[in-house]
Amino acid sequence: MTHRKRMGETATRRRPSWIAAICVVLVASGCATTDVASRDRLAAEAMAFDAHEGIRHLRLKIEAAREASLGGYGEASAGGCGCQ
Amino acid sequence: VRAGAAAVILLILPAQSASAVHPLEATLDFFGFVQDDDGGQALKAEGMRYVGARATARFILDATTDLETSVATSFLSNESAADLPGIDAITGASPRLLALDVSAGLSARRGEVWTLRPALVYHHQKGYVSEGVDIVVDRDLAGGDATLTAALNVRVAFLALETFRGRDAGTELAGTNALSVSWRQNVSTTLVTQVGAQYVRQDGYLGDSYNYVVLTSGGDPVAVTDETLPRVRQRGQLNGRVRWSLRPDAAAGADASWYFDDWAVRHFAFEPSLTWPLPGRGRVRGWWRVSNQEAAEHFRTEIQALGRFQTQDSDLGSFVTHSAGVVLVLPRGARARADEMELTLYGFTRDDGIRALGASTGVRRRW
Repeated sequence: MTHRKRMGETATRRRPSWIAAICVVLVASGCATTDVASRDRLAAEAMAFDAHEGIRHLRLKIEAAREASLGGYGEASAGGCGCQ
Repeated sequence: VRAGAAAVILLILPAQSASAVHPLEATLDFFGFVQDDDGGQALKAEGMRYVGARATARFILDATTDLETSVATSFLSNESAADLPGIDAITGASPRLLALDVSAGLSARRGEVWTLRPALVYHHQKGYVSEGVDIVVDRDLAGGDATLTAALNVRVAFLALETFRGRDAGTELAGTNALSVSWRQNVSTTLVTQVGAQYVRQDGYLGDSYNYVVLTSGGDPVAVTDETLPRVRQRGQLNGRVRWSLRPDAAAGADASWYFDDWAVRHFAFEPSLTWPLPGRGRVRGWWRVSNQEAAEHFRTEIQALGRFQTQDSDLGSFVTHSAGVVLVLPRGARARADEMELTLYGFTRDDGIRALGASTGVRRRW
């Protein structure tokens, strides 16, 4: 019982640092590097991370099936099967 | 009002603005994929044929809300099981599957910097039905130069199992919960980056009831039995992406991911790409991807005695994969940029002998 209480106290003491870290991320203002009028080249389709939806769908299916990884680079797995 | 809405979306989502100014956008794609088996697991036939079609539609409902829907269907034909000398137990596994994927979601702008994107997804195939919810939240920062995205994906699957011998093996449940976080940052007027992390936990039946393992003695197969895998899997992946504008409508890119899980699988992938404009406002994009995988701890190429878990699924093995593809985008008709046709050729080769070649064609129309 005493051991459990100490464990709980330790977790409580550590929690503020986690919360603070999450808050820092959430409220961070990011880095302002451009103004809206100068974003033409950033807005070009050539600059999109996933510009071609059809082949992206096929690739996620294949990579998720033929590899043991999640496939892709951060997208949710293709379709709704949830099998990968 | 429409122009005002478009201006707001242009300001908020600079990387997607080209499609956001149209109140309706629809796509239709057809896929074909052939996998050759000249290796992998030597005692299994792993060749397959895949054809599919996918349609999507995106409607701008009002100044702050889009509706996105998709329907995809696919037909998969697996090779029959390999002949195993002296063993005739593999008789009943269905080599053909028809699958359906449906999704519908909203993209709702809230205030100056928040976007909420909830969606429902449904998947159906023989012996496997799953339902799920996606919730994605975007927060724009630094006047649109950065975006913080958090996503939760929940899936529940209902399985009616059939063994590789064709026998009914009862029903099972499987659950998948995925959490991902990413940060996109404009570094300059010609450079954008994105970093992200994913965590996935899966519970329930995580094997493939058609998979079997072959016991051998002195190198000769003597018996086959079910694949057995743990009922929990925790997975993580770190991702990094960059796009560099070389000139208007031309860009170089690099993507990388590092994957790890508690089945001891490790997987690293790196993918450079190049997009270049073509005469007539078309463009071509090419990419090459190389990845290295370390096998799951329960993977065995040869099994002489059964343990608690074992699999011979070559997709859980060790291999290096090289894949490459090229997409040709061609504007159609007089309304350049509104109608586009895509042609894609794609293939991969694994150093354990699995190879595949795929192609797709699609059209995108904006109104």
